[in-house]
Amino acid sequence: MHGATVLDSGLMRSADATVHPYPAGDSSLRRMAQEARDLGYDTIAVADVPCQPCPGIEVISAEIIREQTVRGVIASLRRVGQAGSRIVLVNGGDTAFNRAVTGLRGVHALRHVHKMAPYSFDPVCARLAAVRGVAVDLDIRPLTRYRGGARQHVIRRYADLLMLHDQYNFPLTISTNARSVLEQRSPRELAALCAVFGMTSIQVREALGTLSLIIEDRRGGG
Amino acid sequence: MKPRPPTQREKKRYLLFRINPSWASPDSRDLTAAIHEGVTSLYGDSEAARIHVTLIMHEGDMAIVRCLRGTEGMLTAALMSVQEIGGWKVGIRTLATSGTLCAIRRHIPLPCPRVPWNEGDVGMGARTYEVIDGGYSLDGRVDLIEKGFNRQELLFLIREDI
Repeated sequence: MHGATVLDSGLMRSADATVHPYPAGDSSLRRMAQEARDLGYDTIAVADVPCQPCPGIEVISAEIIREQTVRGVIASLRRVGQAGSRIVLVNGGDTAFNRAVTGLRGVHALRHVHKMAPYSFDPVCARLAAVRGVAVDLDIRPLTRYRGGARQHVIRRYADLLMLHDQYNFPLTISTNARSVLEQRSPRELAALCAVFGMTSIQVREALGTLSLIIEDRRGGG
Repeated sequence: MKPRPPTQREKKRYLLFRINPSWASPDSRDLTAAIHEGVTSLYGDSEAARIHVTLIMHEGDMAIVRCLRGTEGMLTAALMSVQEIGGWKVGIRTLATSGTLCAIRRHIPLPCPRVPWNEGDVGMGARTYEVIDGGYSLDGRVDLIEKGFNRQELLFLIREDI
């Protein structure tokens, strides 16, 4: 399992699984990379804009597939494979969609858990994700931006996901989904936020190291 | 009224944080209101009362808050949910936690000198921006605001982006 490997290796790397620089956000890629480096990250995955090297931090390109049908996801995966994106994240949907997508080759993480219907990421999906090494992404942005019932819904959904994680041990990633340097958070701040839905600091460290393991897997031809 | 002896007082923790962007410099009253709103919206009134957050110091972009010992993690999470103060979009960056005010003050960083910007306005796409705060930091961080009256957008870049 990914988490066990990170802890056993003793090499704790930290990666923010998605940021959205200018023009999707209000901060340039270089500025966000510099901020992430100062916050203690060694890798950031950049969505929506072309990737460029930045000093002191590894910047990798992330492709977000927003299709709502499995056929659409397969077509996008083919296109993404040709474009050479390093990390592929797919927005989740209903139970059948999640099961199908988790089983697809080339998908690295399932995201938007908080937008899925209740229990649509079920134990079958969890087991499949654990076997295939597909991560589930925890988006921190709604925790900081939403208020009231909407945030309570997100906290419940993440707590439920964490319960499945404890049972099936599928990999987790954490993304700030920041569209500005003002929305980027340090690993310590993420640990404090994730404690709201019961995630321990060890689980947060494991989740922050997952992306690096996925990249190493890809480099090794996995 | 006689003060309580130290052994009967509650243990406190002090948390130092920076308000980004540094030029936003919100009013202390707005900052206090934003912190209380952040804590109450995330944990509710009963937990907010237990955390017992108090703004101790606020100078420029640096601030110190006090809370009950053991609740500093909760306070950090609540501070992360503060998105706007006094009409400005902000981000709070926690810097240090300590048990005494004297120790936490030692963590306050020295003000970073700025390099003056003499190259006028900056064009990005079809829009024109001006540099905020008259310059950029030594590590090249430059903040821009769109020129105009309506919907002035902010841009956070580094020197090489321009």
